[in-house]
Amino acid sequence: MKIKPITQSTRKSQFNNLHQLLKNATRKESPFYTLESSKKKMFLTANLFRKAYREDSIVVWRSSFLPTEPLFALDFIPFPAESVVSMLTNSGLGAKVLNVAEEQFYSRDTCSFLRGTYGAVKEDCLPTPDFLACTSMYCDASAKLFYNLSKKYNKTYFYIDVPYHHEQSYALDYVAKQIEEMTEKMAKIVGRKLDYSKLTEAIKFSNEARDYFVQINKLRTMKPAPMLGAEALNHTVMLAHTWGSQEIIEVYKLLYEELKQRVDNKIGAIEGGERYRILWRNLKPYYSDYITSYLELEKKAAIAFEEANFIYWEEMDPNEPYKSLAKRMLSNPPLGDYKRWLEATLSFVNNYQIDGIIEFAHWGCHHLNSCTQILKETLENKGVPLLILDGDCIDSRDYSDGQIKTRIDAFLEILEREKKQR
Amino acid sequence: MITAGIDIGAVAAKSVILDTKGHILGSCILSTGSDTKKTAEQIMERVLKEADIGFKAIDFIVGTGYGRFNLPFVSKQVTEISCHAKGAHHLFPDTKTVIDIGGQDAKAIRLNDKGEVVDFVMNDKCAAGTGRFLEVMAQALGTKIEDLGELAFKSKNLVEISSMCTVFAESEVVSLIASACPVEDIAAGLHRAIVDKVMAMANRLGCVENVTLSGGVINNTAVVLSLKNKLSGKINIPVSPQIVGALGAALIARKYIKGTD
Repeated sequence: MKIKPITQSTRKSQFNNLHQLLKNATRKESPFYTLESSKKKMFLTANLFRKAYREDSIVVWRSSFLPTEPLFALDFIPFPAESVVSMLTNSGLGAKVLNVAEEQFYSRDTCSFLRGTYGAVKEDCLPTPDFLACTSMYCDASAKLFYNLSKKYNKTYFYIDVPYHHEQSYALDYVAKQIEEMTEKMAKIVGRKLDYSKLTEAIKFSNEARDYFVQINKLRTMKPAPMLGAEALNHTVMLAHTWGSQEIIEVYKLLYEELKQRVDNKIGAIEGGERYRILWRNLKPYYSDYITSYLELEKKAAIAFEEANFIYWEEMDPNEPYKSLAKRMLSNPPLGDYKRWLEATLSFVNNYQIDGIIEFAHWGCHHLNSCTQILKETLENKGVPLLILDGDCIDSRDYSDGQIKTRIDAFLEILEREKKQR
Repeated sequence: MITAGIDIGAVAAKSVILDTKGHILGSCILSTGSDTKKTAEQIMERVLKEADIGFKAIDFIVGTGYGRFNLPFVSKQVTEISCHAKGAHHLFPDTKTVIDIGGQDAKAIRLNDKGEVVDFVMNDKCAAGTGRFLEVMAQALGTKIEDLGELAFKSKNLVEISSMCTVFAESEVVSLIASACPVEDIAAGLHRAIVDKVMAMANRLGCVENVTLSGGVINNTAVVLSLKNKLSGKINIPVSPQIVGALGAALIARKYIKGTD
C-alpha cells in the first residue's frame, strides 16, 4: 500500500509554521545564562537549527546517541528530533504538541519526548528529513517512532543495533560496521563521496572538544561549585548533538576558561556560598525552572554535577573513526546491565563531594525507572541520601511547584541534619 | 517555654500548643478555607482559647503543611514529613515507619532510632490514595464521609474497584450503583483500593515495623482495619491522628528555643 506523505511543504513554510507557533507561545528562554559560553552555545545551536530549514541542506533526524561525526563529515545537518521537543517546551509549546499527538492515539503513558516529536510533525513545524537514523540505545520506542516517521516522510531509515552485552568481543566490529555502512549508504543516496579526511578531521574536533569538557568536569569537582547545574543541564542536549563540528571547540574552550577563572579566584556560582552539593540524575523539566532555581538560588544547594554531562569515553583514534565511534557508544554507562552505571554514580559521589542525589524520574521512561530500586538500595547501603522526583520533562499537566517544594524541603532537612551530625 | 505548631493542610488546618513539660495545653482542627492566612489566624485564636493563654505567652511557633508559608506569626517552617516523624516518635518512641494519609496527599516516612527521617515517599501524579478520593466517593454513594467507614463494615461481599483515578473510580462507582450492587460492598471496595495504593507506596519505601498511622483518614475505622490486615508487627494509632503533624511542629519549636536544632 502506498502511504501518502505526511507533508509536501517546503522547509521555508515549515519554518514559518514554527515561527507562528513560537509567536503565540508565552514562555521565555531559561534565565540561567550567567556565562558567555552558554550564550555562545545558544547561538551555535540556533545556527545549526536554522540551517536544518534550508532547502539545500541534507537533514538527518537522529536519535540521542547516534554519532554525529560522520554527518558533519558529509556536510549533513544533524537534527535532534527527540530533544528538539525540549526546546519547544522551553518556549511554551510542550502542551500544544503533546495535545496534538494525543489526538493521534498517542497515549499519555508514552514518553513525552516522543509524543512531542510526533505532535510537532503533525504541526508541520519541523524540517522534512532526508534521512532518519536511530540506535537501539536505550529506547525501543524512539526506534519505532523514527521507523513510523520514515514511512510517513517516505525517507530512508537507518537503525544501528548496539548490543546490550557491550563487553562481548564481537560488539566493537559489529557496531563499527553498521556506522560505516550507514555513512556510505547515505553518501551514495545523495550522490556524494565521503572524503575520509573530513571524517578524520571530525574525530579530531571531537577529541579537542572532549579534552576541554574533561577539564571542565574536573574544575566542577572544586568547592565552591563554579557552575550552576541549571546552566550545565542546558548544555546536555548540545553535548550529544555537536560532536564533530569545529564550532563546538570554541564553546567548550570558552566554558573551560570561564570556569577556570572562577575556580582560580574561588568564585562560586551560587552567591552567598553553597550549603549542599547535589548530584543530578537524568534531565530536568523544560517547562519550568522552578526546581533548579529553588534548589540553587534559594536553598543554596549546588547541583555540583549532572550525570548527563559525563564524558565516559576515551580519546578517539582519528585513524580508526568507525571503531572509535563504536567504542564510544559501547562505553556509555547506562548501556547493558546496571552495574556500570551504578559504579559511575558512586564515583561521582566521591569525586564531586556529593551530599545527596536527586533523580528526576521521567514518567514515560521505562529504561530509567526499571532500576530505581537497585539504585535506592545501593545508595542506602553507602549512606547517600536519594530523592526521587517523579515527574515529566515535557508534560507540565501533572506538575505543581508546591508538591515539588515539599519533597525538596524534606530532602534538604535530611541533608541538613546529616551535615550537623558529621 | 510554651510552643505552638500549626499545620495548614490542603483540607484541614490543625494546631497544637505545648507547655514547658511538653504536655498538650490545647489543640484544634478547622477546615482550610480559600484564605490560608485567615484560617491560620482563626485556628490560632481558637487554640489559644482552648489552652487558656494569650498569644504573647508563646515562645516559638513552627508552621508546617502546604500552607506553611507566609503565615504572619510563624517563626520557622518545617515540612510535614519531618513534623509527622517527630510527632509520631514522641507519641510512640518505637515508631520506625509512619504512614500518613491526609486530605490530598499520602506519605510513608521511615525513621531511625532517634526518630529522625531517614527516607520518605509521597503519592505521585494524583489524589488516589488520599482523603479527597474517599470524599468524592462518599458523594457518589450519597453518604457522608464520616459514615463511609461504618458503611464498609456492613459489607458481606467486597467488590473490586479497579480504577485508581478519582474521576474514573467515581464513574465505576456510579456504574456499580446502577447495576444494583449493594453500596456497602462498594464502600468496602473503595477502602481496599485506597489501602492498596498506600501500601504500594509504603512498600516502595520499605515498610519497617513498628508502624504509626497518622492523618485525618486514620479516623476512618475501615481504612485502619484494612491497613491492619496488610501490615505486620505492632501498629500504633494515636488518639487524635489528625494532629500528629502539628504536634511534631510544636515539638520541633521546642528544639529551636533550646538551640539544638
